[in-house]
Amino acid sequence: MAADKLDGLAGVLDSSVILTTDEDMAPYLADWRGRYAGRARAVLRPHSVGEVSAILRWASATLTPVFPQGGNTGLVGGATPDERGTGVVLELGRLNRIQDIDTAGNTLVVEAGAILANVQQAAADAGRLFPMSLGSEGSCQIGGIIATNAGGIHVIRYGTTRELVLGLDYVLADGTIVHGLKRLAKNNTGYDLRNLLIGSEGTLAVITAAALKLFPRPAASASACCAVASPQKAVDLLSLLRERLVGRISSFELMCDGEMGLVLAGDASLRLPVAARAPWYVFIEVADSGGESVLVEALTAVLGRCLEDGTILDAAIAQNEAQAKAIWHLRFAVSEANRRAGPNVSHDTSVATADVPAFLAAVSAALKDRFPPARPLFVGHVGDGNIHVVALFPRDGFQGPAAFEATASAVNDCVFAVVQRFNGSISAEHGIGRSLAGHLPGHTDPAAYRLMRGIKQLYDPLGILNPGKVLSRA
Amino acid sequence: MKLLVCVKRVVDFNVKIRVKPDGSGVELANIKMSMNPFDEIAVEEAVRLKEQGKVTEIVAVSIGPQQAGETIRTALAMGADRGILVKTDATVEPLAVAKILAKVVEQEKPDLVIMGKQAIDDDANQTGQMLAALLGWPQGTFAFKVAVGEGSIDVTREVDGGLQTVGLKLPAIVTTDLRLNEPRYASLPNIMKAKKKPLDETSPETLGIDVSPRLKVIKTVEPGGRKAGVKVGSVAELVQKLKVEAGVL
Repeated sequence: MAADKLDGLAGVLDSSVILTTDEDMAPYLADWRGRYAGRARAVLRPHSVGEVSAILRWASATLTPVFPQGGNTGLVGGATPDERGTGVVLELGRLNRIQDIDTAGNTLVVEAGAILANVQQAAADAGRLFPMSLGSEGSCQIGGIIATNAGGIHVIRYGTTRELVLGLDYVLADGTIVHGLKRLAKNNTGYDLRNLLIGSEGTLAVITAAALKLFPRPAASASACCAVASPQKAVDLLSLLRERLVGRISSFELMCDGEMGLVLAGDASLRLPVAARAPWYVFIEVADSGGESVLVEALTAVLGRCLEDGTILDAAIAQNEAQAKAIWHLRFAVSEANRRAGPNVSHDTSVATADVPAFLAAVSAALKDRFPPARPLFVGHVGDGNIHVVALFPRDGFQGPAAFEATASAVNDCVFAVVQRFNGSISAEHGIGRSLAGHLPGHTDPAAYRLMRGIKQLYDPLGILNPGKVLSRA
Repeated sequence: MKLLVCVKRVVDFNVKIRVKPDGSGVELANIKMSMNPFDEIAVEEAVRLKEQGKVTEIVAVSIGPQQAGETIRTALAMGADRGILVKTDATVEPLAVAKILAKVVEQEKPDLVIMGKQAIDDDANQTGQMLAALLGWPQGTFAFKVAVGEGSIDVTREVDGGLQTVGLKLPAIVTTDLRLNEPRYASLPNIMKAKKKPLDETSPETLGIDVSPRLKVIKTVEPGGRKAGVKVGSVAELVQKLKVEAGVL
């Protein structure tokens, strides 16, 4: 590899930025689920925006594809380079400074490579809350969250990433640095380019810093795990909680018993919070600025009523933070558990909340009919109508990756056909990346898809930014 | 057999403690409070003994402000049968706690008292031992395992050298260590049942105990931060530093 001087890039950048040995590059070339493995001439880890700009100038001049990457925790292959091996991975992890926290305006300015958990902690240390929270928060980076418009478990209360970003700094494909780190709640000045970049998955520009919204830290929170008989009961429970605990529900998550079984089997230290296994489980977090005991009392009262009228079968209410963490750990352990369990095809679909029960029944029936060896598993965010449908196949079910990919594509088609019937979305929060680029035209208005192609052409005329992601190669 | 379990309301284990700006103590306003984790283990053990048929009644006692009643409710939700709140807003030191508990024991006449080996707020690790001394009862501290027999109890203790089993004649005091068990979740049906369980209130004055502190806190300060490490260029340099600067070789 030493022979590749990267067409002069080595002379422009400090040697510590460029990784070229197979060993050094390996962690950046495959997605963490092991579904995609790409190749690259180098992995570039810049220390500054200036270096990012230099890299993109060079890439434009040499027509080198650039694959931007954050914490590499994506689920649709959006951060993995392709197999051609002609491009470079641009990993932003060294741009990780938290630049400013403004507790008067409730804003935080941070570089793109900062890890989400560190940003949450910095906000907490300043007595504020950065509400984005998802399973990979210990590894995923702010830039990746913004580029994918990540959702997570608090969307029900605080919205998706889009609603948490006030301003962005980014670098265009030709190396031009664009400053847009405004910390303004109101700013109607022309087209909203910031919103165009949020969710663009590294195909339009490279995000280098962001101004984020902070919130008051709720003084009190309470968590519970409920056993319910069906998804309909979970929707009923959500309606009742929304009525009784107006504005205080931070999370409301649903999990099927099959998924719970996988999670518990994967880690002997985990325990089921409720007394016995049930068909479905709901995870609830409520938070409030008032007193702790009042909140716990309110949650207990609503759940108590639900227990009496049969909406829920049982519930455990965390008596301390350790138990609250243990309850939520079960929910967060899902991706890891599925990865261990065997080859699986997961989906990130959303439908209207009221349609969730019918949608789950229809998907379950369709998968059982078309793919009898697969176990359908469901986990997700009921309040957002965003239920992750996972088809888990037997461990030795496939002879080679190609066989798996073929089946995965057929499973996608099967699930997406049901989604279409319910007028839902094929990607609620994970993005399109590489996994769904081929499906996007079939699920997008043709005129809208043409506009997307036009925007891509405008931002990235040479097609060097994350090629093959979101929009399939023309 | 009747069992008394003692529970203290403390700052939640997961809360980051901050010292008040004036150094007069730690910040307690708007801080999450929970049952002392070691006491939670004590309650769990008590409930398990009841489930095994070894214990017929569990009484949970707490000393503290009105809100300590919530901590007792948690114990009741886990499976204790009734509660006694010894209500006081004063700071109660271990000796005063032990004296109050001795009074409660005199009234309740339990065969076994279980409590945490220490509370995570002051980490005193004194109350169980003092109570044993005041009552003249045998004690099994830092319990890793307990086995109740006929009029006796075997307590396997965590000691510096490993484990040590002591046989105690009942009535006795047991203080719990971390590995004794893993406390259960309070289930909603049990939380609702707990609301109907009796919770009596009394006070140190009613029990005739003087709780005035014997210690005076002069100042509370944060522990010093950890010093940054240094990188050494060679083994020789490391050895040199260990010898000269650290003085450990």
